[in-house]
Amino acid sequence: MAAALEVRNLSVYFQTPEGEVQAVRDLSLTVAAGEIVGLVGESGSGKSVTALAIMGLLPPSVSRTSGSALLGDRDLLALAPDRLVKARGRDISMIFQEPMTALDPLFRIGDQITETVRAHHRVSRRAAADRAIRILTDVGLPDPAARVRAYPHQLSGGMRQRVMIAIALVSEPAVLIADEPTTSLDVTVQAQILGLLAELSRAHGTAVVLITHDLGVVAETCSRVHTMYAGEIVEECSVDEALLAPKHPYTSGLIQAIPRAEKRRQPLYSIPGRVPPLTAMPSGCRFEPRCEHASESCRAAQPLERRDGRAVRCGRHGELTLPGAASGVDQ
Amino acid sequence: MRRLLLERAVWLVPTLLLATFGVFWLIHLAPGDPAITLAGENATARQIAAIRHELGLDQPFLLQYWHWLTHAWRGNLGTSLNTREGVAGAIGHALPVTLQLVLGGLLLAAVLGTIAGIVSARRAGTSTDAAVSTLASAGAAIPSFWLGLVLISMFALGTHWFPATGSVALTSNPGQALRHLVLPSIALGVSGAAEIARQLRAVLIDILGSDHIRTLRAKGLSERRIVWLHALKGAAVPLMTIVGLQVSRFLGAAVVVEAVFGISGIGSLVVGAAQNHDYPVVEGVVVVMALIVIVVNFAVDVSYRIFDPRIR
Repeated sequence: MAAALEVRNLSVYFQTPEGEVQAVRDLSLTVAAGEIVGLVGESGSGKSVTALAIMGLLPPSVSRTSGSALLGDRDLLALAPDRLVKARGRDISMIFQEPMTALDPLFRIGDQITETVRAHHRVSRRAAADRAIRILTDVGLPDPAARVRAYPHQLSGGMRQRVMIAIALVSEPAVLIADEPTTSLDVTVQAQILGLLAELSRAHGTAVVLITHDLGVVAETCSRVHTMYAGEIVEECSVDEALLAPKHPYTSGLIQAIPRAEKRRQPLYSIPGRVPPLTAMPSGCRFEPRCEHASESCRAAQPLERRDGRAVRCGRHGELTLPGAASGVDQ
Repeated sequence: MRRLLLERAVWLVPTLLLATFGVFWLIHLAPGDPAITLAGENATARQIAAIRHELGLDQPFLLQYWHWLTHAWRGNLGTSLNTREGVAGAIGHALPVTLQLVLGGLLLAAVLGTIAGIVSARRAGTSTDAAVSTLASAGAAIPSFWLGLVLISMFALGTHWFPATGSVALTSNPGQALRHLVLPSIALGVSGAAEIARQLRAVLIDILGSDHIRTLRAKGLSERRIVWLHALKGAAVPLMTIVGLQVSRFLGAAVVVEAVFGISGIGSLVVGAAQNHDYPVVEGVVVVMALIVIVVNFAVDVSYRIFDPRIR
């Protein structure tokens, strides 16, 4: 299948008072039309920075990117500013974690949708308003004809996120980046929103990059998953492979950290330590200081090895058998 | 809305009582006696006493205030001790002149301040921002009387582009009125523009970094629409607050500007009256000023409700 979005060797640098630091290193990621790909990792692993870099939303005064993000034959990272503005919202869209603060509190939701339509298409106000009601119907907002006049604070969190999705998809973009779209929602609403994203992606052939720290969300929604740690992809494979037979100790650790009913009498697992700060990255494997399988060889830089349609950034993956989701279940 | 109006109306009474009583007391404390002035140079003590009695100045201070208050309550602001002209009439002549000036200064401050605030917020941290901020600091620091004198010498006496003194009513000759208004409005408005620019810059920097602005960028809106429509509407509530504060500040500062430009508005009226212990005039002006400030505050409160649906 043709790639809708192909990110190649993306690196992101930030200027800080202490000098330039690298937040994302050499990241590659491909999403096909109609496919939902997960990007998982802890807070601080660089997922959101990756998304903002692809969208060109990082402040240029303090950041710099290299690599490419191909949307069809256009490289978003090399696009002239005015053409990038036109591509955003029309060819590639993004939804955010907190739908309350992500919507403009001072404008009616109908107007927030129609202005998006009119920014990209020469249509009348009337046609744009009709389009707004139709997309709100598509995202399952009850009573859309009346709700267009509502302000964001008059809607629940789940409804606001539906509105965000409507805004993002109203121009039927080829690619949607969803950055923790369900993190701030109730579990039941979370499942509805994920279901909606999957349904819309299938119906319109939208390629979706789903960013989350929750492998449970990935398991429910995605076909493939990229695990990200400290600014690098450490593992890339199908969701089944990742869950059943992870090859990177970090992916395995994330799986162990999912609370599960059958482990209810045991203490919750957490990966010891935290993501290293950008100013103090280990020179070898970046996960090495926190890894229970670390050995002398891990002090060297680890390349991302590709084999059999999956990739892993761990020199010891051949010798390790790591626990996945199944190993926690009583066998 | 009705509740707000009622609330404001209730507050009006203590505000006016406090302001008028305070001013009455200050006039009473100030040295000098209007009767002596009125009686002329060769007046006898008896003549002065007669005038004092006639004006009620021989009564106890609190009783004098009470008399004034009961008359004012019925809409009678009394007559000037010096000119014997009705206070309401004198204010009626002077007020439009001052309001014209205050509106001119306000318009200049709002337009200039908003543009400067937006420019420096969008280029925060650059040399443009630094230049605008320096200008704003200078604008806030320059005294209006000095600026007025400089403007007169440069653009009235030097180039003759604008008249140096006087004013014309907007209703009688708009063109001439505007020409007369330009220099005093600048003298009055520059410090307000500086204040608005400074505050708006801070508010806008905050807003432009917020999540919902990022969403607007993500959906492909032009930067112009984001700044001038969405961010500025977000800044409207603090902006209206600052503009409202400038109104009361300008009403006070107009006294000085009127003196510099020889404009006979409320400023010259009240200064003359205060010097002559002409308490009916001073009190009348205080009442009118307090009413204006209260009405402006009310308008600002109403504007919050228009701009921010969450306050409704």
